[in-house]
Amino acid sequence: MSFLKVLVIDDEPGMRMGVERTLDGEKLEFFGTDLVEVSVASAGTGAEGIEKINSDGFDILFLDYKLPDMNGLEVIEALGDRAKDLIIIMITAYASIEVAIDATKKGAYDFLPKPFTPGELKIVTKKAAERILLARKNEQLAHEKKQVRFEFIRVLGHELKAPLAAVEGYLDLMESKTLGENIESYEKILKRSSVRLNQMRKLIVDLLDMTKIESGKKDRKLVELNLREVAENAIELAGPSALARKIKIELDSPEKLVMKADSGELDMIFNNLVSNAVKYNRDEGKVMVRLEKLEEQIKIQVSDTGIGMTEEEQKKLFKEFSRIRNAKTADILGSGLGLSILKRLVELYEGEILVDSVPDQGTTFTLIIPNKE
Amino acid sequence: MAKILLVDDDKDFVEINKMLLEKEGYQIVVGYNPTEGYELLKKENPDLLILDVMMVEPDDGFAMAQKIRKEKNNIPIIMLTSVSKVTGMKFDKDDEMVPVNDFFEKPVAKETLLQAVKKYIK
Repeated sequence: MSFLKVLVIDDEPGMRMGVERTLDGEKLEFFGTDLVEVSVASAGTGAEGIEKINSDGFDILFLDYKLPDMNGLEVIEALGDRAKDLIIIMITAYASIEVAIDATKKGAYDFLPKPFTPGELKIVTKKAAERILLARKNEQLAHEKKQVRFEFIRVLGHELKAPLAAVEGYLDLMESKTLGENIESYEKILKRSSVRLNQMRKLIVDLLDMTKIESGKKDRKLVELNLREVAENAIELAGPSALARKIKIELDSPEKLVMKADSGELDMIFNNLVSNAVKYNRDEGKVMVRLEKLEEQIKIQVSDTGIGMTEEEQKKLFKEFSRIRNAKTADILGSGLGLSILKRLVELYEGEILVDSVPDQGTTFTLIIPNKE
Repeated sequence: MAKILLVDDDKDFVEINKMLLEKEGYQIVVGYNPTEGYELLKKENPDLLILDVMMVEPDDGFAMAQKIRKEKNNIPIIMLTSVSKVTGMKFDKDDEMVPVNDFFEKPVAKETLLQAVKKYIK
């Protein structure tokens, strides 16, 4: 629940009490979910009101035009920049057009002619509150966006520094001949260094891919593709690394399953799914790729017999750089961007991704994509 | 032989420090996340813990150090981090939030690390 502070400046005690009685403690509902509680304070003169605004801060100001010490317009002028943080509603018995225009120019938002009923007061308040709430929401959204960006850059910085630090560390070990004079002793070190550099390159490539997809500047060419062929290509590409660990990849698909899509994007989707299924598999495991045409959708399913994930781990799956790190994954390389890229790509096709996983048994990724032939 | 527990989510970082410290005659056990590290701490009863801040949850290493101290375990802890430079935040040891004996920014020169290790393992 959020709060809304209302101030009434009016020299008539009856008017101040009326507003207080109608609005104080009132709970307004917005957008079906947000509840806002209103609190009301009041002042009998312009000077008193200005002092209250300067010390307390308010959201909405009901301002009488005729006050004992000054008029409403003078109050707005005296508030200066502070008036911009307020929604000002003039309450006046004689709102001449001239006064109205002048007040609006100076920052008044609305008018409420006296006398008014509690119902009218509530409607005007609600309208003003809605505006304030929207502004607050926008501000919050902008703030969150900034946070997300900051977080992304922070983690990216770390992910780029880590491979450099690793290679530096290994070079340092070599320089001081930690493992002796024999070059063969350093084979593992050299191999790990090149693995880390490759990974860094992969991260940079993934990052560029992601930026391209995000900016919408990627040239998309939608043509009719046979998904079976796309899947076969991806399986072939993953072949060597699967063979090295005796992992079998099987395909279950109709001869022809046509979908209108961008060939590069679809390659990325399939390569991502199949290479993950190999990477996170056990030795001598199995990868199953299934393609199926549903009534108005296409189902792409890739299952592995690998290390699987706990529910807790699954929740973090699509977050950038949220690689799951434990003894089981310590040897597996990844940029931490693969699945966020997959998610963005599938979103381009208005599809959804379902994940089903059991630790030490395997994971199944299912993509359901609307088929727009 | 003195035993050192290394906890870091970067395999190579673990490997590098392991090689370095094994050459100096220490016995090394390794964990790749705080959970594994914590289990090894109980099982292996090491003389020193070298702990990375880690990035999975940005404060994993801190949380682990706090947990250890809460249990009145006074094992010397050397904490390594690559966090503070990136975030622009300045971390340093402090008894409540960062209850460690030494705090270094990665990359740490190996002389510095070895010196610190020698300080805590006599």
